[in-house]
Amino acid sequence: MTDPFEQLAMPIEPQAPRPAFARSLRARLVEALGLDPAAAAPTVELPRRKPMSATATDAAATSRAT
Amino acid sequence: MSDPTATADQRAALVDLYDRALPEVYGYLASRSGSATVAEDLTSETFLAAVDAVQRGTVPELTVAWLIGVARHKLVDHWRRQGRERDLPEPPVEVVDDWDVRLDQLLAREALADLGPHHRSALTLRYLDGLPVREVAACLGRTEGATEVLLVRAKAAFRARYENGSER
Repeated sequence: MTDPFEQLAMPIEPQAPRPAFARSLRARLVEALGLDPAAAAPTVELPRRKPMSATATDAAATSRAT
Repeated sequence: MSDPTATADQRAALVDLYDRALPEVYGYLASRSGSATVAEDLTSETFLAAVDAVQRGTVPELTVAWLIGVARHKLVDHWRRQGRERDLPEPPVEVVDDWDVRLDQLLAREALADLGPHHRSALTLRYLDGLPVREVAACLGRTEGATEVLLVRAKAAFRARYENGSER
């Protein structure tokens, strides 16, 4: 059996808390710091959108108008 | 309410740090306390203390290491509040999945969880966190000499439980 005190050594392993807790605590911090909640919102990577086809839309709008 | 002495940059920097450091602070507290509920409470206390420090302008450097130091003090405060009460810990947050490899480690953690708050906090700071005796003493608010005596007693209590556990 190895030295029990060596067995106790424990590096810090990141662990995600409950998302609801993380959001709630973040909101508390932003409020306590007096920051604008909108400006302090976390940056979210949005999925890239496909470009819309202007020609098709314009054609449909034109046909509805006539 | 924010203090005007804290610059907007510092306050925004703390929120950025929160986004980066939350898993480490929470992971540190969850692994040491063995309770998700306690870890959430102490994580909240840690970051609210950080807000207070930023507003008072007493933060040496806004880093993850500094936050872990704050979390460590919150953990010690938690154990102090427990005093001499001997409550059973909640089930560990993280399930050990490699039983054969981690058996000794599990026994050691069980023995540690079975100790009283004073012994547990001293051994956690010294052996889990790997702090030198001087820093353990500072965290516990004791002299180095008193801390060494506490560690000797805590190790003896730990060994007795560990050896008893490994013989089961």
